[in-house]
Amino acid sequence: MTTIARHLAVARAIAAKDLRAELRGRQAVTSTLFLAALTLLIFGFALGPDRASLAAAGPGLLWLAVILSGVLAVGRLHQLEMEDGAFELLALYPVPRAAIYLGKALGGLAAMVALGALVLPLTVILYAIDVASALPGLVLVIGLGALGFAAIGTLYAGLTVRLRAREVLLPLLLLPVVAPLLLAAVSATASLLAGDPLGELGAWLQLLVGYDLAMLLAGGLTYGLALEE
Amino acid sequence: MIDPAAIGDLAFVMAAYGVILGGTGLYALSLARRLRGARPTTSSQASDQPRPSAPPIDPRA
Amino acid sequence: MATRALGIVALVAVGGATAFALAGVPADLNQGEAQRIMYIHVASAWLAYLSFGVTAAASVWWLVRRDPRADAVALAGAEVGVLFTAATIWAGMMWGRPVWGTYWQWEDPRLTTTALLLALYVGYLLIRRLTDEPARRATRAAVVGIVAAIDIPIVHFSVVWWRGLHQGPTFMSPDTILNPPAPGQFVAALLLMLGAFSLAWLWLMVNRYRLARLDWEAEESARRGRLPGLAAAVPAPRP
Repeated sequence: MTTIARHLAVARAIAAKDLRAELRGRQAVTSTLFLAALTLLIFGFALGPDRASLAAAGPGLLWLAVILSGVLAVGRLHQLEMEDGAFELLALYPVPRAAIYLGKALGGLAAMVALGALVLPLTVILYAIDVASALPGLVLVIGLGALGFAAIGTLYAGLTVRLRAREVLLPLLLLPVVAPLLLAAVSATASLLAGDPLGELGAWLQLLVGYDLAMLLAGGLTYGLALEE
Repeated sequence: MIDPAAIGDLAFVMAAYGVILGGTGLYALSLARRLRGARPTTSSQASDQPRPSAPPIDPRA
Repeated sequence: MATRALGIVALVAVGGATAFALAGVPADLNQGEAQRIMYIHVASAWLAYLSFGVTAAASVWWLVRRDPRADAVALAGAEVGVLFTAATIWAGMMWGRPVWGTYWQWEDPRLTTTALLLALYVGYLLIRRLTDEPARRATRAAVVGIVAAIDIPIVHFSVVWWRGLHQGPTFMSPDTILNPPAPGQFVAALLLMLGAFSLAWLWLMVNRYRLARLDWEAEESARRGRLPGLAAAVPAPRP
């Protein structure tokens, strides 16, 4: 088996395990879905009821909900595994560290995509935003944003999982680092919904792709260090 | 410098320089103090005197 | 000692540069006295980013060589960096209020990027504080330091693009004001402040590094169960 094939096989196995555990009721990510929906609701209470201003704030609120719940989701994907004692075992497997990272990041990606898939229609409903014309573009932006967040979120979750203060430390570390991702994703979303009047969409998409690549590289190279004890 | 608007501006200038230089000074002083406090454990006074032998402290205890 | 001399020289230099910036150099025609803040703002910014670079490089050094000196340099860079980053933001706010009318301007790339820099540094220092074992602490911090270094240029680009798209007609950025031909005295005042602050930075870095080395040695001794001064103690087996 070539090295790449081996990496992918290991990654797929790890991601599949996470999915199976989730479906069997581990509740790592499903609870954060409820939280994301709730966040959108209380944003409405905080910023409403004027429809115009809510619609204008829509892209920002969408991504805030995704990212705030996403922090919890990636954290829990590691945390629950840690509590079961499985994380330590994972670190002992004689497989390339980058493959483990890829597997966990795939799980994170699935979680983020699920969050995006839930938050988008809710935003349409709650904030009266019309997405029909921009839907393919929105799917792309959500995908790119989800990938970037999963990439760095998985790394930092692995880095902090053994710390007692991880619930505070993970958001504290993640939020500054994903600031450019947030900026680019919100700008791209807003621009898509408006029909890209300033021609800025390409630049934001490029930024997202660049960010994703940079964070995937960082994670692939250093996740092994986070695993080692 | 008779311009009254300039006096308001001067307050900001003083605030900027004052806080920054003051804060840096305090940090420098605290560094100097911490260094002086840490030194004696490695100074000649501590290592010359014979110490009664004691069992090594178990860090896991 | 050499560092004591450095300290004295730095102190005198900072005093002289400040005096020149506050009284020696004339006020700006457009911005008035408030423009004097620019000197300390730019000097602080320069050193904040330099410290950041030092921490990033030292982090790589640690990961490659596991040399405790690397970790000490990284820590020194981060702590001193927080100081200068906070100074940059504070000066930026004090400059902004008289010139822009507000303490904060979202489209100013230096201000927003530096604010994120501060957040990244604080995270770095916090993850250090929450890890007990020195080598693991150094490794965790190194990962954070390197990711932060990758992130900062991305942040800068994104904010510059952001500004480029939304710039309003009344917006006036401190760095666009720097660009028009600056009288020689302004440049001289800036260089003087930069030089003086660099000397102070060097003194702070050297001493913070020393303190970090001493702390590391003390920690290692305590962990190995060996008190300094004990002769021929049998080292406890490492856990």
